[in-house]
Amino acid sequence: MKKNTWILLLFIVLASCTEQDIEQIVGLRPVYGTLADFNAIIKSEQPKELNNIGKIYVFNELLFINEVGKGVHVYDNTDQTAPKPLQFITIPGNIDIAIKEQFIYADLSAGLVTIDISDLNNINVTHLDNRYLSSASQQKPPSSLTDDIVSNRIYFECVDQNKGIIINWEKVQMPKPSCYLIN
Amino acid sequence: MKIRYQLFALIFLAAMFIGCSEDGTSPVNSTSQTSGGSTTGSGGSLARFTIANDYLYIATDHQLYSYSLSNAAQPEYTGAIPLFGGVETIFAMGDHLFLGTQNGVLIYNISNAATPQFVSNYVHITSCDPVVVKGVHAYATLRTGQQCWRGANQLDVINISTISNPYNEKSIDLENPIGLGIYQNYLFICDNDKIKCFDISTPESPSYKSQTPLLGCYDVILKNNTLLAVHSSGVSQYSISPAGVLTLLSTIK
Repeated sequence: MKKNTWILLLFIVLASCTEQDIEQIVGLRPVYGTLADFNAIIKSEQPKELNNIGKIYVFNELLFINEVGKGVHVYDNTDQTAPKPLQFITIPGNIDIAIKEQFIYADLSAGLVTIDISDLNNINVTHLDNRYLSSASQQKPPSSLTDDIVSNRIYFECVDQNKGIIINWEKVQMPKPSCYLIN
Repeated sequence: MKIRYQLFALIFLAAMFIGCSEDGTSPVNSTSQTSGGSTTGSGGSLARFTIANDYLYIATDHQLYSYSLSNAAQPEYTGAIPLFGGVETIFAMGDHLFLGTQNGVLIYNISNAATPQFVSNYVHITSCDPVVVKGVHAYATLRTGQQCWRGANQLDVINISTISNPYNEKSIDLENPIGLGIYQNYLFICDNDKIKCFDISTPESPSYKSQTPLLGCYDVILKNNTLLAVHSSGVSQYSISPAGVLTLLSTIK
């Protein structure tokens, strides 16, 4: 009788183990916030190494190189034989920019942002417009973040719109979620 | 005598007006020059953002957004219109926007800048394609790719002398072309790890001149007599000789 109890206990332990053992994968998790949060996120930093670059933009003596989904590298291109790195501007979800006078217009995961770069060391967000908030970017991770994933299914934590606007996505270890994209 | 004097005054006034209207003709390109440099910059042919007539236009896959920049610090949303065909790129020239789509080129009139008006659609087989324009010719590259595997690999020369009726004037076979740009009479195209240079002094019939190897080249920007090329590992800059030959100035990696 005592022996049977031990076997039963062992069974319970094993069964609970398998239940908890949900597969851990690397997936994309939405980062929620408000438009105001972008003021803290969009900033100029020390120059960074080029990694996964996208489009380029030229404005007088400045050269802008997009780091896909992350922001722009800014170079002083006065001497085209030796461009000098000036800054990296963090703009989550960024792919495209355009410039008029001292203002950068940039797309980001939650809309269109206007940044005053008259002082490159102290940039300033002057406007944020979420009408250019593509509904797709609020439902699934953007292709800029999934292009380099090779698996057939790209898993992401299902979006809960009650939590706010998605201002970014981060790649993290997570229990296998039920939402995924077919690659 | 009095009549002759009035006539003289009229001619004088007319001459003044003609002079005025000539002064008032603004450059057609989006980069207007001021003494301190350009007020707007330039992107490559793969851009989805462009500034024209003091408006910012953004082409997404399915929408064309317009923002007034009369207050540059606070762009004012002026509307969005639905687009079809999988739009990938935008190029502004004069009063027109040229949108490169997976099915061709959409042309919109922006003389009423807040609300672009559809003008015409140049249709080709499904391909990925950016487009640039010079005079009455548009140049579009078509390529096969992940999203456009059915496509062809070629350069289309599109006659837009009648903007409402663009038509194919010539197609030139290429390897796997992507971004392109124009400097004077030269058309530069990123094509399968090379920058190819075509002479377009006869605009309807580009003639191949030379090529410069550049691994993973995908777009170019022309600035004065230099070319900036973005490729898989960085940005390379070249000077352009009068014969269209590129000499490497630097590479940012």
